Formats: sequence, C-alpha cells, structure tokens
Amino acid sequence: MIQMPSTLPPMSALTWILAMLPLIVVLVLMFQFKVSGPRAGVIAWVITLVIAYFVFKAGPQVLLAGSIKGVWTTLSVLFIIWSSMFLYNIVNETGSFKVIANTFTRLTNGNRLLQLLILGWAFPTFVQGVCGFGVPVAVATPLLIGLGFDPMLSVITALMGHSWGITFGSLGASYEALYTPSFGAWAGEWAGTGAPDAWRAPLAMWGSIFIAFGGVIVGLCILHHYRKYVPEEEKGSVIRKGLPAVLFLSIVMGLVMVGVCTWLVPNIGCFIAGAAGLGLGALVLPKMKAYKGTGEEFKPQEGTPDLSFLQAFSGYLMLFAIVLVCLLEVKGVFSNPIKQALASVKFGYNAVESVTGTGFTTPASFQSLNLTTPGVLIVVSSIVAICLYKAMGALPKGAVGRSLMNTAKQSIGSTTTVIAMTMMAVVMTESGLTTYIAYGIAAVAGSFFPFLAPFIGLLGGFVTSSGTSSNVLFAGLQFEVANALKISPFIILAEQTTASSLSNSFSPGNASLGTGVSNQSGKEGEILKVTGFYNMIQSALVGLLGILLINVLHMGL
Amino acid sequence: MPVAVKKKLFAVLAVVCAVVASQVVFIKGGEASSVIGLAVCAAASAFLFLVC
Repeated sequence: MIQMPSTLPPMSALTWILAMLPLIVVLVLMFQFKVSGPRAGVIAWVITLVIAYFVFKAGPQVLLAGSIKGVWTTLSVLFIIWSSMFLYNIVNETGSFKVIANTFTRLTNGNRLLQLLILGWAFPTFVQGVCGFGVPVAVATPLLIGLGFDPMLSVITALMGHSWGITFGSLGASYEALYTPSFGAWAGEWAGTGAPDAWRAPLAMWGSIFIAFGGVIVGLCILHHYRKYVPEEEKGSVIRKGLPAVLFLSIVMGLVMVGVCTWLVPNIGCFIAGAAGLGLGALVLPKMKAYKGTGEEFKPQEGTPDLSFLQAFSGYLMLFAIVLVCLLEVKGVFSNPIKQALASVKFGYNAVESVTGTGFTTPASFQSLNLTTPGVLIVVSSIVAICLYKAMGALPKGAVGRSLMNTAKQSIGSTTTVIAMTMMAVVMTESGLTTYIAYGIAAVAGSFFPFLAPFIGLLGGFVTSSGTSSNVLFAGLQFEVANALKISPFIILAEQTTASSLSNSFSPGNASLGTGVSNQSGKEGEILKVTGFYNMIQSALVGLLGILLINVLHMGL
Repeated sequence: MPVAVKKKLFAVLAVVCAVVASQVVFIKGGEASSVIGLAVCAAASAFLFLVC
C-alpha cells in the first residue's frame, strides 16, 4: 500500500478533490463557459492560493514564492512565442510561404493528406529533435496555414504531431530527467554491477518502444481529426486513404526511434526519426499508388515571388543551422564548446526555500535563463534572415516595422494566458497539491497501476506544459510505486515519459503558443477540448500496453 | 497599435512589475511582508482579469 508522504496532509478523498479543484475549474471555465484563458487562469490561481493556504498549510511566503517563480518560468516560453512570431512575420512579408506551399503541393502531387502528415507530423518531429519548448508548433503551424489548411486544424495537428517525440527530442533533456538517485541505485543493484548508469540502456529501449507506440496513436489521431475538415461525402474515406501513409510514417519513424535509442545514442533519437520521416515521407509516399497525382498540370499560386525553395525557406534553415551549431551535444560522446560558452552567460534570481506548515519543502535555487534559451536563438536567426532576405531583394520597405507590430498584436493574447496559467501551476506544485494528486492516484491503483501511471505523466504535462518538468516532478514517485509493487520500473517510467510527452498537446501553455502563432487568441479552450479528448485516449492506450506487458506478459524485470 | 492590445501589454507589465517588486522587496521580509507582496500580485492579476 502506497503511503502519503508525511510532509503532505493525510490521505482523504475530500483533500484529493480539493487539490484537483484548480484544474477542474480551469477546464470547466474554458470548455463549458468559454471563459478566456487569462481569466480562467486568474480565477484558478486565486482558488489555488485559498486551498493551498487552508488545506495544505502553505504560508504567504510559499504562495508568493510560487507566484514569482510562475511568472519567471513563463519568460522563456513568452520569448519563444514573440520571437517565433516575429520570424514568421518576416518570412511572410517576403511572400516565401507561397513558394514553400507551391513546392510541397508539387512534391505531394497536391495531396492534402500527405501535406498534413508530412508538414504536421514528420516535420515537427524533426524540429523537436533539436529544439523543443514549443518551437515545432510555432514553426509548423504557420507553414500549414500557408498551405491553406484551416488555422484550428493546423494548430491541433502541429500540437499532436510534435508531442510524441519529446522524450528523445530537445537532444534528450526529457529522457535525462527520468533519472532519480534511488532509481539509479536500484538499477545498479538490478544489473549486478552497482553502476548507477545501469538504468540507461533498458530505459532507452522500453522508453523508445512506448514512444514509437505513441507515434502510431498520434498519426491515427491526426487522421481521425482531419475528418472534421473534409466535405461530408469524403469523411468515410479519409481513414482508408490516409492509413497507408500513417502506417508508413509511423513504422519508419518508430523503427528508427527504437533503433537509434537502443543501439546508438538516445539523445538524438527524435532528430534522426524526424529526418527519416520527413525525407522518406516526401520522397516515397507521393510515389505510392494510393497517392499518385491526377495528372492535372500544377499551377503555382498567384503572386508567388521569384525565389527558389531554399531561398524562401532560408529564414527557417538559418534557425536549424544556428540551433545545431549552438546546441548539438551528446552526453558522454560530444561536448559543444559554443553551447558551454553561451550557457555560461546567465541571469536570474535566487528563489527562497519554501516550506509549508506540513513540511513540504521546495529547496532554494538559482532560477536562471542563459543564452542557449531558444528565444535567443530565434531572435538571432530572425536578424540573419532579415539580412539574407534583404540581400536577395525579397524584403519590402517597412517590413521589419510591420512585422514587429503584427507580432505584438498576435502574441499578446497568448502572453496573458501563459502568465496566469503558469502562476497557478507553480503554486500548485510548490504547495504540494500536484504531488498529493499523484500519490492519491498511486494509492488507490494497486495492480491496476500500470494502467493509471500514464495519467500521472499526463497530469504533470498538463500542469507544467513540459514533458521534462513532468518527468522531474513524477519520475521519483513512479519509481517508488513500481518498486513497492515489485513491477518493472523501466516500463512504468516508459509509460510516464510517453504520457508526459503526449500531454504536451493538451497543455494550456502550448495551446496558447498555438493560438498565438495562428492569430486565434481566445480559442485555447476549443483546442484543449479536442487535444484533451485525444490525450485521454492516448494515455489509456499507453496504460493498456503497460498492463499487457507487466500484468499479462510479466516483462521488463 | 489598437487600444485593446495596449491595455493587455500594460496588464502584462503590471504583473511583471508586481512580481519583481515582490522578489526584491517583500519576500525577504518573511510572512508578514509576503502578504503585502501577494496583495500587490493579486491587484496586478485583477487588472489582467479585467482587460482580457
């Protein structure tokens, strides 16, 4: 039986429901009453303060420390939103999206399904491989809109499409966050070598198997969601027509993911899988019988500038090049001196230690941002892109000023949502509410735990808008429960990291980022309603796979 | 720039200023001054609530 830690209030159903209340309020206000994101966030923040104070005995200092950290945490997210929106507006001013759209239309024989799957799934996976934190959504959404897809479809597709690779994306940040000292010690004993690094190989294998499974589900969800946007008479055939492409991409990306993570370096699994999906998807799929063209002559869009694909795409190519040069590093294999130099330039503040009345402690820490923050790299890329487009004569007069103005208009809505939501989320975490919810789930689960484990990862991802943060928050708990139940911690942690990755499509922060870059501020609730539905199904399927492997096949130990 | 956008920008600035003031002035003073910090943050959040 799992015991609630002594630093949290005693286990009770009422306390558990009260701990859940801020999340329930956000969901009900946004889904049911169509309240805007910032308003729902502020209301939920106030409710969190009240519950944390009266039920979890969090004093004013704890509540204030959480609120301050919440706003600080949003800065790097907001930096990405504003800078990627600016880059998009610069590229848009040159008319390059028409060139990109024409190229993909020609490459895919004008097949809308292929365009959606390649640009909305394989492409964000590739971007996620090197640069996470929402950048794949910020880059892929405008491209899909530029191809003429509905803005809502574009955001939801990019959100789901990038989510599955997160564990082995961002050069493995999320995967590394699964490590806890007690897990390392257990793995060392389990391997019989005592080496704390013994967790790496089996976890990379199980993690990549679950992530590949998540990839298949994501592809099917994208396909299923696309049905909403086709004429009534074509709805029935979308799955049949799209299934070969989804299976092809999920097999290619899944096999590459498992192969790279198991036998090469897990940190670059998503990058290589995304590159394979993007390359093979664009080259092989259009040649398949199901996706052959109609033979009609291709007509470029009117007003397309006289730029080649590489020239048009150079703004984003600069971003990839700069990210690779500045961030590419593989732990234990290759160390990047540029990254180290950039990381050494940091600014931040000293967060005080906060202790609740029951003893739940968040240690003092230096909260910092450094020059490897994605926003900095996107700003640098934007400046280089401006110079490049100017040199090509593609940037009209006054384009930079107009781009700045449009960026402010498009980004302010999501900015207000992200600030309010993150304040609530961090106060929940620092006051112990989030941990209490997770322990509550673990306590009632018993042998059913492999099914419920992904929902804990989902909770972490929803609250923090980050797969890495969810793993930091709950990897220890998941390991402790698996150890107590004598079941495979590798599989349980694989479920945790898969669900926390997938939940990135269902987090208010990422939804706000999506609405920001697609100029749909205020529609976060609509997006979360759709992605939340798919996320529940995804987590349940991951849980069922866990039950099958642990309870039926007794694997993973 | 539209007035609605300007208002939202001011609201965001208000929250950021409230948080900076809380970190620099209030939180180090212990529980009592943290209450003032929370009140300042709540006022800024109320402004955010009203303009959004």
